[in-house]
Amino acid sequence: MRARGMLFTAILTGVGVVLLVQTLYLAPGSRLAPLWVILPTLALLILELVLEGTALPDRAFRALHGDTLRGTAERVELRLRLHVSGDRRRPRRSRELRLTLWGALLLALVYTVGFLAAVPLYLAPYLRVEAHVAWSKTLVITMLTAGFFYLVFGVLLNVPFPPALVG
Amino acid sequence: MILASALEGLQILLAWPNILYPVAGTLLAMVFSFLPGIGGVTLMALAVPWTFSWDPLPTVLLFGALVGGGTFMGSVTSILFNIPGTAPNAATMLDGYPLAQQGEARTAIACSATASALGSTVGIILLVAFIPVIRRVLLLFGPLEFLLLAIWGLATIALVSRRAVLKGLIAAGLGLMVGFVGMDPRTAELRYALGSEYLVDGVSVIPVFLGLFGLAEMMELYVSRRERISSQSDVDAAAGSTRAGVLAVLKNPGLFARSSVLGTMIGMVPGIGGTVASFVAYGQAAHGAKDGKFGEGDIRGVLAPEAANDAKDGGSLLPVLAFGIPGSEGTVLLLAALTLHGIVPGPELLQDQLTLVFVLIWSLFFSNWLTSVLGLATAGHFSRLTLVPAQIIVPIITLLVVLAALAYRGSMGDLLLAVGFGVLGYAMKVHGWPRVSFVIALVLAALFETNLHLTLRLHELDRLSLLDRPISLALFALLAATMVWPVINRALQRRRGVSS
Repeated sequence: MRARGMLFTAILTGVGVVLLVQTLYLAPGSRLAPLWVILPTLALLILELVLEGTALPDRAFRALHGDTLRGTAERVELRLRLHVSGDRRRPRRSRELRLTLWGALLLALVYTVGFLAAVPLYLAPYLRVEAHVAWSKTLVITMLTAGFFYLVFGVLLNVPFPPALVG
Repeated sequence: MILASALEGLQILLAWPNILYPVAGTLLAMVFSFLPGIGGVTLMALAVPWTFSWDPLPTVLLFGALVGGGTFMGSVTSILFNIPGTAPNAATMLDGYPLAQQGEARTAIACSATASALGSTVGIILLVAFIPVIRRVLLLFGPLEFLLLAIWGLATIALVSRRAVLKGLIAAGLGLMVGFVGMDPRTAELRYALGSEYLVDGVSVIPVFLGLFGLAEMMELYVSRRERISSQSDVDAAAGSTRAGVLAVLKNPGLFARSSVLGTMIGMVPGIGGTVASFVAYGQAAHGAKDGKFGEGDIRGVLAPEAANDAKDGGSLLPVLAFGIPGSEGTVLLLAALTLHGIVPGPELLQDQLTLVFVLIWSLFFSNWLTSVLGLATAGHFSRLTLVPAQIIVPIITLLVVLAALAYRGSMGDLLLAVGFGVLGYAMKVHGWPRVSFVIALVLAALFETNLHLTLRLHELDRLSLLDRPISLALFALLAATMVWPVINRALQRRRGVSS
């Protein structure tokens, strides 16, 4: 988990560098406020990356929070959390992968058939395959949800959804 | 004269069948604002053509209720599902949702309802008090005051992210940078738009809130395999207490008063809006708290933004009625409805048609209280939604978030933006980055940058005299106190620790 945390900070640092480069290409009038913001942000990002990389968070934590009883308790809690989440890393990663696939399916459905048609096409397989809900319950929940969305947002409010690829 | 008009306005509101308009308007606004992404503004837009053939009086009664009725219900979805009903309710999510996770949803909803009703009352009282001096009050606010207000809001970031100050400051910097995306307010140069037409107008806060909080929370709920939103499984234990929610407001009169006055004052200033009001109120609440765990389920984190958000309704009516200057989408539609019926805002309206103005004010007052009373009565039922099994609630709430993003402007870009910020929000949550710092900075970015440019320009022209601006001096003092107080407080605590 700590390595993933560092990777996330590194990605943010990369984004910060890109933003700085883009800011330098702006006209002087347009870059005033962004430059005031991105320079210290980038400096702090690098500091955070160094702190995470050199196992300094403990000392930094003390500097930021003081060596108080609460600070010590929070450090212990933080370590415990890191330890626990480290143990659960593998199942977490596989859950994240499954979540990505379900998310991609929903986006693809919304893009191709439109939101209102995507609701039953996404909800029924999710409830049956992912949540292992009984067939009868799956059908009832899907019909109620899809019916509610269709009647309220499609018919009553006539919400202007973006056009779908099909239909 | 004001008292007589106020009494006459109240009599008109309570007369049969006039009372039906605010009741119907309030109920409709409650339903619409409970639907994420739709909100009371959509209902107002739909209501403008309905009222074409109506007389001015029912129109005023209906629109007063639509303005007031939509504010509270957005907080219910914020508390239960971490999805803001409307943008100003986003600040309520920061502590409301953690409270729901701890099995205190009913307490949070009751606190929100009470703060909303009392906050709107403060807003309306200040509105009536300011009617005679509104012109002088509005002229006290200029670019320097707005800039200081934005800096004050930003200064609270370190305080709301006290468990990870460094990460909080970085998140705030990135939030400001996201707020700078789009056309530069002064030069019209396109910044960080990545060649996309969608980003020309900047990043809209609604898809960001939906992703950063709503989607991210559903992702975490799925990945963590928690069984339900609430950590409590027993129905009674999970419900929390309505009484505790009401008492939370009554036990914090200072915080309530500060937040309500702040909300009214920000509401009075055109163009700032309720989102800034609720986030600034949240920041000052976190600043004032010595023992609170803001962001982890502190009831004061619900009280402050809700009081400010509802108090702002009263304040935002002032510039509309006195000058015809709307400060938000809601007041734009209110103004449209009024002018369509020949009610032209301005000093004449406040002099010649003061009774009609009070009908509008009473309608707003009535709808705010009606929503809160209904909210208190139904808080227990709503809070049971946090007990629905996660395997069922995750796909349904995800679909609601997708719907809200698509319905907002009918754009696929909003959905993609919400998904992008959902992934970012999930990563921030997992790795302990405070999302609140990011959103406060994002909300304040435009206010900060526009007024920074204007202030610098006025300074160049030598038209900025600080000593002539009492509000600026007061804001400077407030800013200095915000910066210095934590240092003094820590020194005092250490001293007490040593002596004990």
